[in-house]
Formats: sequence, structure tokens, C-alpha cells
Amino acid sequence: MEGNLVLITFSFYLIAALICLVLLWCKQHTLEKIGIICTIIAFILLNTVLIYRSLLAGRLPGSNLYEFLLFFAWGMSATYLFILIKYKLQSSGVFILPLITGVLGCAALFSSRIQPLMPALQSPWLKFHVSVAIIGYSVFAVSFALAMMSLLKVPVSINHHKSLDDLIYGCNALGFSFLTLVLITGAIWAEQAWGTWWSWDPKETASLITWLVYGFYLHLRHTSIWSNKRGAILTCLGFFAVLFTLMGISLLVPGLHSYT
Amino acid sequence: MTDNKRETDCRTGLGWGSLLWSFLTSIRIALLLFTIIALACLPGIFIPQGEDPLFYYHNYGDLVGSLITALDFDKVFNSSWFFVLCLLLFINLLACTVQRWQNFYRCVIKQPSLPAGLHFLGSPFIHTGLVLVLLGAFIGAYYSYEHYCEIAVPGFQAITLGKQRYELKAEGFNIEYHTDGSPSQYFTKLKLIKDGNNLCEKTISVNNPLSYQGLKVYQFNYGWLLDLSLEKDGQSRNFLVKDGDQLALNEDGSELIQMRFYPDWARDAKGHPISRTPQPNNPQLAFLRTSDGFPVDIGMLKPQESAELSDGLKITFSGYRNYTGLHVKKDPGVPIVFTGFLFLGCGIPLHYLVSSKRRRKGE
Repeated sequence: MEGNLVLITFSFYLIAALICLVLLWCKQHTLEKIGIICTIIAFILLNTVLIYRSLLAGRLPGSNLYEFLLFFAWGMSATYLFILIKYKLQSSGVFILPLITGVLGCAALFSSRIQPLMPALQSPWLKFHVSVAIIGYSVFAVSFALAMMSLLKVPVSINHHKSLDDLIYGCNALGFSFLTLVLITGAIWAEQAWGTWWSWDPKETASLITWLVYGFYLHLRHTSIWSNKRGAILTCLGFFAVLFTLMGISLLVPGLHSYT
Repeated sequence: MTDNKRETDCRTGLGWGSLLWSFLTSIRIALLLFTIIALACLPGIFIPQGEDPLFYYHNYGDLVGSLITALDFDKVFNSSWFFVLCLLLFINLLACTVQRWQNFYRCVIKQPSLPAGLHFLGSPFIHTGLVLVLLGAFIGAYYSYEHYCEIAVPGFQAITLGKQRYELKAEGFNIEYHTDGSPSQYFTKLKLIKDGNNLCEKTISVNNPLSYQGLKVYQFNYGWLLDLSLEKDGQSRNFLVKDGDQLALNEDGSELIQMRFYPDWARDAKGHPISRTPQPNNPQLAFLRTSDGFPVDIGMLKPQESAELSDGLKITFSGYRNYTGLHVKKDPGVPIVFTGFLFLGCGIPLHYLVSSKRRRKGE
């Protein structure tokens, strides 16, 4: 049942993504509305999947890559809907909806079996560590979408007298704060479970690189070498680092976080 | 206040001192260090760390292999060049932190507008937190002690951490299981003893270590110890062998007995021996005796069973018990690192208060 539900959710996101793409060429009010409705239906379906799974497992999803990717897709959708409602930035969907669709597709590659938690994962820190990671990564996904819009000069109109660049900066600063919390909660947990708060595990190292990229972005903004274009490029680079940390490491490099 | 302004503030004073100061607190230097450190981490991810030099020659070829070992890419995070990079970042960070506290002092204390001024604490707090984290990491790298030990249960072991001698006594060990048979938690009932005095007593588990004045004992792993006796020409000797290890029968190690313990012995579909569960429901010991690498004897033993081997050697499987693998650690850097985390945890929300305030003012 869960597999079918994920497939239907996937299809709705795919339709919403295609509509967003079509909207770039022909602005049509009805189509715009259909796109938003599809996104909302997909989001409700994704919520159902996650709640169903949480009830079945008796805990928050996020203890293997399949669950984390579903949760990540949920986080991105929630953040996208937020900026859709607050800033009316539907065109950002051109980049973020395919991303959500892709992440859901990737999730299908991993085992969806509900496994009991191994001893190291049995800690109250798991919830915090995963939740702040979801928020941080989702916000970075949105800033990536906005940065792509800025780089490809997608026409936008934002209310609240904000420029696209300000919005990217806000997202990156928020994401950076949550990434810092991911590293802190992970370190405290690792100290409790393994006796070392930092062990240069590939995933830790990749997160540190991600953190340095966004740290670079935030500091660059205060210097004279700053330009909006450079900021947008750095934002994209940062998000590639996020994706690499999340998926690349789990698939390519063995380590403490490889979920095996 | 932007950092451009800060940079010009620093340049108003002349002389080498202020030049050095503006160099140390330069954001561009920080950006350069960020870039170099991020790039330096890459070999640490993609090249397996801490292997034997031969591994790199074998897998990457002679030229690349020799480059990897020469540049310490096989142990990036323990290399001196990486340490120097971290030290440079630390100096830069320390200078920036001092500068941020100076700015806070100038902005808020001299023109008091507290508690509104509290919001300006964000950036100094975040930078102080990072200084403490790096400081704790340096202290931990040089002054921490670590020890791994395997203790038969029940049993004890003496451990030395620096100049201190302790004794660890494992009084019990048990495993709890999920319904599917996979282990849910490992528990060791532990006593920490020094000079005959009982310092601390606790049943530890994964994620729940014993902690005594900075010394911590972690549940690391577990395994089986096998009690064996070998008898030849009327002479008998007892051995305690770890599951998976091999027992050398002669000095040069050409005569070996390899042991494999199956707590819940069964055969899989292909007829290979497996352990159905980690629980000792049907314990059996498989042994393989080799001479110069060639198999000589092979057999299975239940507890208390004996077997006669080819040259009159008699092997008896007397019993089995658990050992608990413990990781003992004393790291004086941890409290400093955690204080740093506290500063970061406070600094981030404070920083947000200031930016949202600025936003409302339309700055």
C-alpha cells in the first residue's frame, strides 16, 4: 500500500513540475491553479505516507536512507509551499518540484522495509539530529531553486519589497544555522555513543565542507568582492555539497553513516 | 555594521601593529582558509584513510600511490599540514572574535541601549563558540587518553590512562533483542575501581556510558570467548580463545587451529553452517586444523565434547562465555567543545533577533 501511495505522490509532483515548466512559456491562470492544486494534493499524500509509516514503526521516519529521503521531500515541499504562499514565487517550482520528484524517485531505489533500530541509533538525539537536518537541507533546496532562477534570469515578482537576492541570503543564513545545529547534535550524540564527538567519518567531513561553503557565502556578502551572481553560484555549489553529503556519501563511501 | 566599515576602522591607525591586526582579522584571509580547508578535506573523503602504504601502491599505481603517501593523503586529518591549516584558521578566528567583542563594546556598552543591545551579541557569541570548539579539539588531540579492552564476563582488567591506574570489573553482560531477533541493546554491569576503592558502578549500554570525573567507559562491542583444552601424551593445557581467532600449536605458527563459534548452529539452504540467532540455543564450535596452510583436521564440537585429531592430539571444548568490548576514554577537551556548542546555540537565535530587528527598521 505504501509503495503505491508513494508512486501516486510521485506522479502528482511530476505533473506539478511539468506544469511549472510549461508556465515558463505560456502564462495561464487556470494552469497555474492546477499546478498549485497538484502540489497541495501531493503534499497531503506525502503527509499520509509519513504518518502511516510513523504509526507502523512507532517512531519518526528518518533512521534509514529511504525514510530520510521521504522526509526530505516532505521538508522541501513544506518550504516550497511556504514561499509560494508568502512570496507568490510559483516559478521557483521549476527547479524545486523536479528536485522533490527526483528525491522521491531516489527513495524508491532503497529498501523500504521497516527495521528495528540498532543500538547506536537508540538515542533521543536521533530525533533532533534528523529534524534539524531536514529543515536545514530543505531550506538549502529552496535557496538553490531561487539561485537557479537568479542565474537563469527567470522573471520574478516578489511582494514584501524583497529582492530575490535577499531571499536567497535569508534562506542560506537560516539553512546554515540549522546545519550548525545538525553538526552540534551529531557531535553530542557521537560523544555519547562512540566516545568521540568528531571522528572524520566521510559524512561528517562532507557536512563540514558544506558548512564551509555556506560559511564562505555568508562572509563573502560582507566584502567588496561580493556580487549577486557569485552568491548564486556559491549557493548552487553549496547545494551540490548537500546532495553529495546526503546521497553520494551513503552510496559511494562506507562509514558510520552508511546505514548498513 | 558591515565588515567593510570594520576594515576601514582598522586602517585608520598606522604602523605595523595595526597592519598585522587588519591582516589577522581580514575576512579575505578567512575566506581563503575556508577554501583551502574545504579542498583539503576532499582527499580525506575519497581516499581510504589509515591503510598500509602498500594498499595505495596496489590500488592507485606506483606514481599516485607514492604521491598519496608523500603528501600524507592517506592520513589527511592527522597530518602536520592539516594541523597548520587548522591552527591558521584558529588564529584568524581568534582575532575576529576579539574584534567582534570590541565592536560589541563600542556599539552597545558605550552607547547603552540595553536590552536591545543584547541582540548584537549574536556574532560575538557564534565566533566565541567556534574558538572554543577548535580549542577543545586541539586539547583533545594532545591530551586525551584512549584504551580499548575486552573483558571476559565475569572478569576484570587493569587499565592505565596516563599516570592513573584503574581496574574495570565486568560483573554481567546481556543482550536484549527485537522481535525479529536482531540485537536491540547491549548491557554490561560495570564497576570502576582504583586502589581497591569502588569509584563508580553502572550498567552501561550503547548511548549510555559510565562517567566518572571526565573518564568515560563506552559499550563498544561484544563477542564470545571459548574455553578449550588440548591434550597430548598425557599433558594437558587450557586456552581461552576469542571466537574467530586461531590458536598456534607451535612456535613458528605453521600449525594452527582456527575457531568459529556458532551460538545457534544450523545449516542454510546450501548446507553451509550458520547461526540462526546470536543467542546460544544450539552452541557448536567449528574448528579447522591446518599445517603449513593445508587442512589436516576439521570438525564440530558441542560444549564438553572432545575430538581426537590425526596425530593423537585431543581437543576438548570446555565451554563458552561472553566478553564485553569496552572503549575507555578521558578527553579534557570535551567540556570546552561543549561550552563552545552552548555559545553557538545561544548565538544563532541572538543573531536572528538582530537581523529581523534590522529588517523591520528597513536597514
